[in-house]
Amino acid sequence: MDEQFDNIARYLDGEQVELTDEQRRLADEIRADEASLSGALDVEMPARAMRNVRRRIADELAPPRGRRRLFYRVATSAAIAASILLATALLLRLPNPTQTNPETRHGALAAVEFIEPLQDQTDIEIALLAGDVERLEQEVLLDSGPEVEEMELESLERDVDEFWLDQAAPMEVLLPSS
Amino acid sequence: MELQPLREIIAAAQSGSAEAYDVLMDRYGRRLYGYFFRATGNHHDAEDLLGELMLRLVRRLESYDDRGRFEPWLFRIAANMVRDRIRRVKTRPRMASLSVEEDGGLSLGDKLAGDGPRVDANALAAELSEDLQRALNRLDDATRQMILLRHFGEMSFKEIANVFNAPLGTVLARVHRGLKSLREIMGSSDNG
Repeated sequence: MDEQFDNIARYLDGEQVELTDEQRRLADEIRADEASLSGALDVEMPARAMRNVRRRIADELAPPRGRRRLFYRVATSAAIAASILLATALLLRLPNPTQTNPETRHGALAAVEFIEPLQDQTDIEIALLAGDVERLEQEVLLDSGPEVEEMELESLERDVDEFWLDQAAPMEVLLPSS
Repeated sequence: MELQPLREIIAAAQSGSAEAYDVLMDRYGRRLYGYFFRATGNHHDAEDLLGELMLRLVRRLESYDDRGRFEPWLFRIAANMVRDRIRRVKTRPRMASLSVEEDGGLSLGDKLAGDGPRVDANALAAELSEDLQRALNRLDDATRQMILLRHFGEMSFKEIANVFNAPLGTVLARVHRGLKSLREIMGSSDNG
């Protein structure tokens, strides 16, 4: 029986297959049933749906803009500022004068004596600036909170979608096991 | 006007042309929408799935290598999405919504609005469409999908057999049985 159905399927797919009268009758019946359904199955697509889908495509193709762009810019600036502060702090703390060569120790001590008050002042400024950077980051995160969450959610959904696309088992899971 | 070759459209879309995606929407949007609508039974899901599919296309079209036919590739993705949606719906409790339609594409809100009986040609077509939808819903998921992929995806039996990883004869037998059931159900609803 399977072989008969195979033949009919190949015939209906346009292959040159010899069919028996019974097979040809079945093939004609399937053709007629499909033809009678064709008009009835079609559905009018609402214009609103078409517009919405086109808008989603345009959004997907468009580069990041508006608040997202502002967020990226502020976040980048904050990261650069933090890096500069860190580099400055490291520079001011090196070298350690107790480990320097005795010949240069006097000069180094003099430099340290000169730098120390400045360093105390710098530490305070670093702390204040770091506080500002942190506050700024918090504000940006709070301001764009839902958007950030949305982006993360979108990213997760995309990952899941792509996983299904790649890993989806063949459709035989829909077929009841015989 | 001569139609732009599909290969050119796909190449343009692969390079990020918004116009190319518009052309793809013009060519396949309605058929995909019809497929999603008949597979899920409501307009809300159909629009949502079509939007999702087009976004996947934007993200994944690069991986399409043009060795096979584009339509079966597209409808295979659509079929996987429907399968996932069906699976999700089956494992999730159902909630009543005013915007989400029941079978036949009518939302609860539409029904509550109580327009009364509709007697024009559109109403008759809508009624026939709803009857057909109910009949489709009575088929098992795989058979319904196969019939819809034949019609909307214009897929051969061989291509459907590949999608379902099933023998060719099995696909034909299912489609045949499904079409026969639809004919009987529709026939009995015409008489009743």
